[in-house]
Amino acid sequence: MEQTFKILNEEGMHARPAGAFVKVANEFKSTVEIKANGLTKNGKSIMGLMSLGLTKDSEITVITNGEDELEALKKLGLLIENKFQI
Amino acid sequence: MLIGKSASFGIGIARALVLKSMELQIESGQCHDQASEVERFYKGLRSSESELSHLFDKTLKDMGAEKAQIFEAHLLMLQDPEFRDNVVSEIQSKSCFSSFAVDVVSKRFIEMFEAMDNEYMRERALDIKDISSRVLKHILGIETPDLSHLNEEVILVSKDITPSQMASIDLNKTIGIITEIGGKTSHTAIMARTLELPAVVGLKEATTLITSGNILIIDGESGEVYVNPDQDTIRIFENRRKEILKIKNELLTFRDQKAVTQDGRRIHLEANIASALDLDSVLKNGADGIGLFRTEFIFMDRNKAPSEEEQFHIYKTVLEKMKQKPVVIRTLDVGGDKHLSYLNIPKEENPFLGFRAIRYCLRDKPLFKTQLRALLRASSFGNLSIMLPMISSLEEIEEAKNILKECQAELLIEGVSYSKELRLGIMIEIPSAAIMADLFAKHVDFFSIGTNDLIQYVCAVDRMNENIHSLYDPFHPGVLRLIEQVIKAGESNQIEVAMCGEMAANKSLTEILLGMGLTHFSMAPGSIPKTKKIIQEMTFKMASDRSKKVLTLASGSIIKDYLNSLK
Repeated sequence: MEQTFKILNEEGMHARPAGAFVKVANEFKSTVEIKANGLTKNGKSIMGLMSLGLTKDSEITVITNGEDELEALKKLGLLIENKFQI
Repeated sequence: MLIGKSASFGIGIARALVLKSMELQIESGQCHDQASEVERFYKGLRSSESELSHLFDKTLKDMGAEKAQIFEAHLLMLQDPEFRDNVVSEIQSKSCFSSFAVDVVSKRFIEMFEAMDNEYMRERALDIKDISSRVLKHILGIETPDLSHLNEEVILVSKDITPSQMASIDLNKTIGIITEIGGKTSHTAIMARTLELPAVVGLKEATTLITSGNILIIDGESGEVYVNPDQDTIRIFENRRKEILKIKNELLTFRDQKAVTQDGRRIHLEANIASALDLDSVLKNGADGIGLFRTEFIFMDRNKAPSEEEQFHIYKTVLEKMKQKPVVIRTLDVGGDKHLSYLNIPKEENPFLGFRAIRYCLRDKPLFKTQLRALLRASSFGNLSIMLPMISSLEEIEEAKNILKECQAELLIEGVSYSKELRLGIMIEIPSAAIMADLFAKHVDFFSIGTNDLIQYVCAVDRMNENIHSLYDPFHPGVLRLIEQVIKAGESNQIEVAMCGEMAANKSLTEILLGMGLTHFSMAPGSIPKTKKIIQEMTFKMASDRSKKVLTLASGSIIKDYLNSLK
């Protein structure tokens, strides 16, 4: 499953937001991938996420795959929309 | 004397402890047993993890949640599947040693971050270096010097001090920090400021030029480091250090008090800042607000002007941190002695009388609008006033106002909100504006007297010219009379009059300015407690009598004599 979101928080994908994303992604069995700027990175890798250099208003596609892909996509989407506040 | 970049204020005098960067002997060649190398790597990770959890707890306790977050991020990086998988597959595909694999993989990540076009991300490369060397030390079984238990006071000198070293250091024995690399926004710098440790960063070859045991003086304000200084120099800095300490202690008593005279006149003591990094000091010194945020520093040391987005973040940070306290942000004041390579300001015969500040901004409308839009957007996050520098005529005020209105209209169409309470004021630093203050007051919400330029223009003295330096005189009656006129013009039009030049922090003149009716003084954050104390000891009644007397005197030296006789 996949869905595209916009980064809303001011600082973009800094260490804290990336950390929050990874924490949530790790709660699920499904694989999580992030596609942005033509690159695909492992959504459970903080370094991978940060290396995308995402800033506010960047568009990212979250791709989940596995038994709990729906819940994972929902919760990660919510996290992005909540500006990475857990 | 060596010079680096100022990272955290304060003076420290102690012996150097040079941390030679640990030579990590990476094992090259082929390993014999891949499985045991993988196990060695995992073991290194586990010990690093438990070490980091300890550091996280210690930092949380010593420095708070915000600073501890970095170690949480480090833990996540250690657990990063990409990092782990890459290291393991490196060992398996090349039959290399685990230390070699960790080194290769970290370097790959470091390169990636260093290439990013964002200072914050580039500095994350340091975090990866930190993690990688931690894991390597565990794999290689290297003992790290224990900085948490030092026998004597030291100034740490290192190529770089990692956030983890920073968090583990013995705060009772560490007097200062010097690093070869890093900038004002590196973790070392930020943590040093939080810990109030003097720090100089970016001092090239510091670990070669300085040897452990050398006596060092570090001045975190100027970025200067003296190696084995003579007794006189030590004495001078020792006195300055004590002076700073004394003020710091006074500060504790004055921070939460208000500047009120004995007879109940409330004075606002505000801070001059040049960057969001100065905010800690502003809050610590108990400023009533920010009376002058010089935005030109945001524009310096770069190849092109900062974007609206970048400026917006900076202004927003400042406004949010100041809660609802007033924040006066001055629009770009370039030209004069502040040159920016990417702007179209030609070399001039008389730059101080030339194409600068508002004069330039009104001509480079896109640049000015970018700043005004960023300011307007940020205005929703606090109590913002915009201040225009170098105003000399009503036309300039009107033109700037029209551009501001244009920006407001644009934002309205874009559906972006801004504060309706926004105030617009002008600097009074050109004599023609000072003389016209009574009429200009009807067009703006406040004045702020910029004394540094005002004195130089009123006395026709170039501040930088040593031959006539003594003619640059804040006590000159011409200067004082003009200032009094401006204050009175503000009073009769019921607009606020502030002063943001160096004169505002001149102890000998505080009473006179207060007596003339000045209500807002803006100065370096460190001068606030001192001024607060002086104000609490005086009465407005006596101050105003004395200022009346001063205005009858005919020369700067007579005025100085009179003021001295009062002590």
